[in-house]
Amino acid sequence: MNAAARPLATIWVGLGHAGCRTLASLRRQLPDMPDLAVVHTRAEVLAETGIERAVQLPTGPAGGTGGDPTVGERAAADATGELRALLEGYSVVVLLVGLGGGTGSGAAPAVARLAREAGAFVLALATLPFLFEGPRRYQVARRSLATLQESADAVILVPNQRLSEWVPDGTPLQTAFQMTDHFVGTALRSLWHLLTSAAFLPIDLSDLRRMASDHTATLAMASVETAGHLRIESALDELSASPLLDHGAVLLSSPAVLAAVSGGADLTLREVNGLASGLRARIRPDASLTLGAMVDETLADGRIAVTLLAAEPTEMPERPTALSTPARATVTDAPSSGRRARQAKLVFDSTHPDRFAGVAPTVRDGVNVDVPTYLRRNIRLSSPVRG
Amino acid sequence: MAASGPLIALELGTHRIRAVVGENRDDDTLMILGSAEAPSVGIRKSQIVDFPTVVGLCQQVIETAEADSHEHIEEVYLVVSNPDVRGTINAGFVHISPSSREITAEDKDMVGSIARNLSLPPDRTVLHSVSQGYAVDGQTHVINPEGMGGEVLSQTMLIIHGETTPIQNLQKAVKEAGVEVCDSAFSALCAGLAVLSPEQKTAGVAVIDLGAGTTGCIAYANQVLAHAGSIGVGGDHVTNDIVSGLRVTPAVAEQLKIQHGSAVPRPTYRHRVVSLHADGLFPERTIRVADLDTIMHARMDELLRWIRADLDARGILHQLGAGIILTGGGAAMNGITTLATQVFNMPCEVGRPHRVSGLSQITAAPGYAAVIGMLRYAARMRSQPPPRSSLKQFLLRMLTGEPPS
Repeated sequence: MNAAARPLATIWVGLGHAGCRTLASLRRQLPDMPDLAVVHTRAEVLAETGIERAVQLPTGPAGGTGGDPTVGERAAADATGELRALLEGYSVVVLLVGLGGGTGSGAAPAVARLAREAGAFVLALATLPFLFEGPRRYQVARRSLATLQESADAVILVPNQRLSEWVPDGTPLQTAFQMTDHFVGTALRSLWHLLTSAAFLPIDLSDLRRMASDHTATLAMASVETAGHLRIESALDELSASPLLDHGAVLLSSPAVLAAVSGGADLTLREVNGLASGLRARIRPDASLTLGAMVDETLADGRIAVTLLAAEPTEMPERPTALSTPARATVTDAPSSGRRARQAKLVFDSTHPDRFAGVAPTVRDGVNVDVPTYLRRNIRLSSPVRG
Repeated sequence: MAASGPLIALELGTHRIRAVVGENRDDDTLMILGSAEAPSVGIRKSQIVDFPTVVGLCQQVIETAEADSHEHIEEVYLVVSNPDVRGTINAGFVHISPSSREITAEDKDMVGSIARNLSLPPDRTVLHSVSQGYAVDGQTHVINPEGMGGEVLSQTMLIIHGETTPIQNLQKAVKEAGVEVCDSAFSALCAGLAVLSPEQKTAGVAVIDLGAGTTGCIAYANQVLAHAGSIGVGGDHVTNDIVSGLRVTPAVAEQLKIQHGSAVPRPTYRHRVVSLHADGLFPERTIRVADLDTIMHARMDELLRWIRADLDARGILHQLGAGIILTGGGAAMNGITTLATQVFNMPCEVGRPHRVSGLSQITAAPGYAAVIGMLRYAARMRSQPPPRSSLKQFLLRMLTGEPPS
């Protein structure tokens, strides 16, 4: 167990409007947070967060970037000395940024580069704009993401659009953004636990870097909490239905999946096994699966938390049809069956020595149901009796 | 197309390739004249994965059927299955000419062609367009609106569609084997034609066709064909689950499934074991029947619950007064009707083809329901040869029970 190597000196940096807002709300949720810092062009935004360590990027008399990422980039370059001083001495830098605006999009790649130069592991959590924010912001975000992927070790990507189906019609705009923040907060909290607690199945930063596979993939993330005697099954069902994983489509196409479960002292080995076999049924047969498990005493009343990261080869945050994975993936929208009209089909080039080789796996609600039901339902059989 | 003479139905199934030769009698009963079947190789989940082998098997089955029935076979009616059959309800509207305000045959044709015109991507192909009836200015359940007065005529249709390429390949294999395909029909729909009585259709009923590669379903509710669909899960999955869980060969798993297993766990069999002889792969050992039942129950329970959920989602689960009818090879599984009764909480039984005579081993086997139903489909098409343009119209009437005009 490499718990001795931890905790690593970690700082979380909120960049730009969304990054600052997320970090400010996260601060209230977590008592045992790492060091925090915020970076913005406007002093009043920095002040609002209540976070002491702050770097104001210099932008001329008018202040702000006017949504222009080149202004943000230049401002970060001008503040290089201050940023270096902020990041010095940390082994892990977690960047929170909403892509699409001027400050975050412009400065995030630069801050990531500085942190990497200082020898830190850089994990970025970036959101992509809602579609209603307009095509311009979206394009800015895409371009910035490409550079950010180059400079960070791993990028966790949250396309806000995927979250939008959770937002009921008629929700005020501000509430919609708050929901995004809340989601990001929950996910980050579990990620933080994951990387810092002494787990009996530990997860390493190198696992994340490997999943980002040489800066060619981003990571999709979803996190759920469940309770009850079928808590593993419920967690798997909820994750499969999560819009953040595109109702399981992301899982079915991802070449690498990482899952971490935390529970109270009542978390059993059988449950961890059940999670592993349940996930196996929901992912590509040739995908790598990394599993982490730990006891988290703060999870009371039989609750467990399961966090999932799935590598998504770049070029597909919104449209799985454009996937460029080894598996050819198509998602067809059924003209008929209204609700869950989506069926993801995967055709694998590799041959599997099973009964259903050569035909597409049968997928229902994001699950490959060719996998035996008893395995997916985690039903135990008595071991075969010797004759 | 010959106007009379024997009819041949062919099914290229995942487990069996079957042909049945039959004749429709004047009293509308079917007389089975001959049949042939061969274990299927090269088909998985109702899709051909080894084309030349399937063509060869097809020829062999047709030749055997010819010898058995003493008939020469040139054309067949093909039963098709597909793992992704769906039923989409589509509506058409026309405004009636304000001068006459009377619905004409042309209005009916027009509204029908609009209702049929569901735009589908090229990878989807329409198998059937079945009328669910007309409405005139909001008055629904109109059977034949011709001559009625009104302003707006509408018609809804259930468009049954599946994946283009696999379905075309089934048809292509038959042609390659040297016979023509007169028409193709969805297996669950055919099974329904074989086993359902008019009373059951009126009361509301669902047919679940448990194939080896795919499971199909159709349902009649409110006097119309209300649902059609399929899932790419079938008896092969049960066998495969047994292979995985009990570490036996597929052949042994198939045998265990048929001879020893049950879709519902049997508490009295808790300590029962089955001895397996040693074979090349495994030493002699015993299998617990309880484990076998557990594996089979998990799979079939899941499958039936999906179908239940699909029926529920379409709002027809509670309109099935005549319950659930099971057909296909899977309907022969031990305990399956008990399980279905539990899952659906309504009467469930295995469907038997009715008004069929000859060869009781065929007419009584649930696996033959679809091919026998196909003969009925073919017979009705042939008995009232309609002008080519209204062929489908005719079929709609046949399927909905609407009286011929």
